[in-house]
Amino acid sequence: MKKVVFIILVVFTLGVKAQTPREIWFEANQAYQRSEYTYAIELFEQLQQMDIVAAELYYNLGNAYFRNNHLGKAILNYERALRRNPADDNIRHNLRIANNRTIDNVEQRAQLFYERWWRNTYMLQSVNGWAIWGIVALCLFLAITAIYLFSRTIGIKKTAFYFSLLLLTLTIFSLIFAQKQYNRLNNTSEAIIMSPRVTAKSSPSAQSPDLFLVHEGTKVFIRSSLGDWYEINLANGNVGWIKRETAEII
Amino acid sequence: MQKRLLILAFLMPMVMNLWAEDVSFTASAPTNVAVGERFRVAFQVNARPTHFNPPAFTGFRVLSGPNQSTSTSMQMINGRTTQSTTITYTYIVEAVSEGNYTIPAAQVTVDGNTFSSNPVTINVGGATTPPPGQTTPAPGTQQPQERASAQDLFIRATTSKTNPYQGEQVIITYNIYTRVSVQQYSTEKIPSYQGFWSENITASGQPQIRTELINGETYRVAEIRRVALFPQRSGELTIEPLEVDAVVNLPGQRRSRSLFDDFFGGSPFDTGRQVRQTIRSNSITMNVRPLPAQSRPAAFKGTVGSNFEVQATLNATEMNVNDAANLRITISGNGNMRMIDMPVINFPANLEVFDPNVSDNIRTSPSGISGSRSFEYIMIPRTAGEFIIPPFIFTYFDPSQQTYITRQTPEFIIQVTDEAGLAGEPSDMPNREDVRLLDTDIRFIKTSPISFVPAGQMFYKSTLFWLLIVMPILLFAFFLIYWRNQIRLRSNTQLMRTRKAEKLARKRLKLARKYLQSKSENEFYDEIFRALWGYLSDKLAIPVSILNKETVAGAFKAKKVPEELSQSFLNTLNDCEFARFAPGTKEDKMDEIYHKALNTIVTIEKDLKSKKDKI
Repeated sequence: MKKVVFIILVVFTLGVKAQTPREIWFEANQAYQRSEYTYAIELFEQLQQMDIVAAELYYNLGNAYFRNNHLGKAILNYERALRRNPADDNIRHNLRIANNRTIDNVEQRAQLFYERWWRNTYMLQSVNGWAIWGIVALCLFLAITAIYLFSRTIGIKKTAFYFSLLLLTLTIFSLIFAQKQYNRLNNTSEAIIMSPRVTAKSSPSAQSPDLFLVHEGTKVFIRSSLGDWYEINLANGNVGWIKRETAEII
Repeated sequence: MQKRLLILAFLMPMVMNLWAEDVSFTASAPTNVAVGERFRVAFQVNARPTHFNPPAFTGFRVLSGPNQSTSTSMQMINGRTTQSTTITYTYIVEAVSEGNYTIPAAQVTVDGNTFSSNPVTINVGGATTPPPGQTTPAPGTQQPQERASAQDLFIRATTSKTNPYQGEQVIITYNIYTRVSVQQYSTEKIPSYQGFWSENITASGQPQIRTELINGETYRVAEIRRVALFPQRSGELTIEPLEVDAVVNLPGQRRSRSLFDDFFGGSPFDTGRQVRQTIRSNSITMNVRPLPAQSRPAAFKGTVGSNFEVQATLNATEMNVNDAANLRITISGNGNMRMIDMPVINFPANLEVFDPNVSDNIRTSPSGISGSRSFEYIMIPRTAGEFIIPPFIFTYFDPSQQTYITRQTPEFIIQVTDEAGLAGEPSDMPNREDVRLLDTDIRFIKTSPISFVPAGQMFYKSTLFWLLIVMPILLFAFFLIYWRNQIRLRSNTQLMRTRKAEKLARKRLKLARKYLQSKSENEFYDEIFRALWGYLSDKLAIPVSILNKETVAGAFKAKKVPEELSQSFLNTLNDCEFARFAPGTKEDKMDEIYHKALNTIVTIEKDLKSKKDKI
């Protein structure tokens, strides 16, 4: 049976080669709806190989992996999707569901209320969203400033002054947030554990003592790397060394 | 079973606490005994003591004890369970001599409190009539002939080794040598084997009797006891003698002995006397050598013996998550199997391993103890993946080769698959209560067409982005500069004009005066008009094209020029117009108008100036 499926897949793959990205996308979504997740994954990954980057693509690929019980890959793709579209409710929801399926319940360091607000605010828009916000706010700010400068009526002048201040703040913050999202997008210090079980060692060698155990799907932060090893730390502060192939950078 | 006992043992002290208040501790013994009589002295306590301090038995010989016995009774009345435990320490003692003797109080410690028993007084009377056919010789009164001599009857303890290693198996054999007939014997006192771990390996059934020649005398020899000993510490260890109570058939004394009888050691028809006597073996001193410290492996746990083997079997190497695997480790060899500890194996995490089930198969033979001990582990993997069970390393010391020998089981690899996706569901998972109950499935994929932007293209920080940032700023700056210039330019000409308005008006009036003198009427009025309107236009910054009486009145109002002033200005204008087109004498009128215009301009100028100063 497995062999037959494999042959069919190969045939499909060959047939698909000539298609446009739009057709592959459609075909992949169809496959997902027919619960042919392995095939859908193959098609989505084919799109990725065509250098196509989109939050939706990562999201759908994550869904397909999730349905195929590949929790680590699912979380990795959800995280990648969320980086490109941080405000998307569906991505956030599915990531949360997938994270709840992981074995490790890493205690998150408690965030203070203003840290949370700050994060929630800049996660409202993607990098491009914030860039556009910044430009629009800048133009408005300049226009209102002009009104403030040339108006002779005191009432208009006052209102224009406050509006221009507000718009200036909005401009500055939009650009800060855009930079923040840009950094997040190009951040290579976060990784997802791919192996079902990884023992973190105290030093980059297989003989060194075991420190702790992490499981598939757990998000780790890479502090440094040495040869085949990553030095990771978890959200709760634990630090250890793991093999490079056991984790994948988001 | 063992577990249940253990639980019971843990529960016991708790239960005992309930009765801690009314601990009773009594000693009981017969009040009247005869010399040589054996009797029981019992100390009974209805709690579980932590310590028992026996009394001194002066005037008695302790044959055995203290022997501890426990009896537990449980009562269930109307569903309520009450439990009581009684512990009895029993001594078997023998009265040695006549007299009144008191056994002082014994002490027990229960929950930190010390309780004393009652002292017991025992009256030891004269020897009672021995049981038929038996004679108990009283000390001192015994006649030499009434006892078999040490040459006729003795016990010899022999040891297989005199300087064993610590933990090495040593066999002690007790043989009874006799030249007289021994009717029966019973072991009276077994040595405590202090410093040894001992196990009785006496062969069951009747002892074999053989003959042996010692110093030219023929003895019948029977092995009465064989013990395997394992010295637990190094140094000089002494084994106390074994005491045996034997009933010996002494040849009859009243009858003359015949040569025949002598030869056979007593004829079956000899009615001779039966004498009961205690014989002791020799004591043995051993010099126990410590195990060599050098080259001692880290895994060595103290096992000493020979021919040890370890064997491990795993029932499955491929399995599903949450299935159980069975690992059996068997250690076999010659040595103290009961002292073998549970193997120390570093099981991988996420493999739930239960405490092993220990089963022994121990054989005792005249050559010592051998056998095997098995540990059966049940392991349940909780996640998918590869689980490596490291080898179990067993090290023992072989005294015959005087080296440490290491045996090892193979490494096992269990491949665990998670086909059913159960990894997230085992019971030992941390509780994740933050999951909302209905929120347990992912949402559907996005099916709308997406923009197929090649990777690496981003609006932020692109040229367009920078352009859109820089352009409005530049535009704004240009606009600002331009506007500023315009304002400056405009404000400058206006200022000039305002400042020069009066001068210009006076100039025009001067010209008008000239025309007045030359009596050229039209030119005069033209000049007056020009002076008045021009002044207004310059002063009030109103273009000449939109200048009329209404705009002037409005402008005056805006400049807050008093009503009468603006009115007189307008009147002057009206008069001018009127005079110009009115017929009649003109010279007086012209002169009047000239003065009126001059006055109006001067007063307005004054008024505006005063206002400017005020501001």
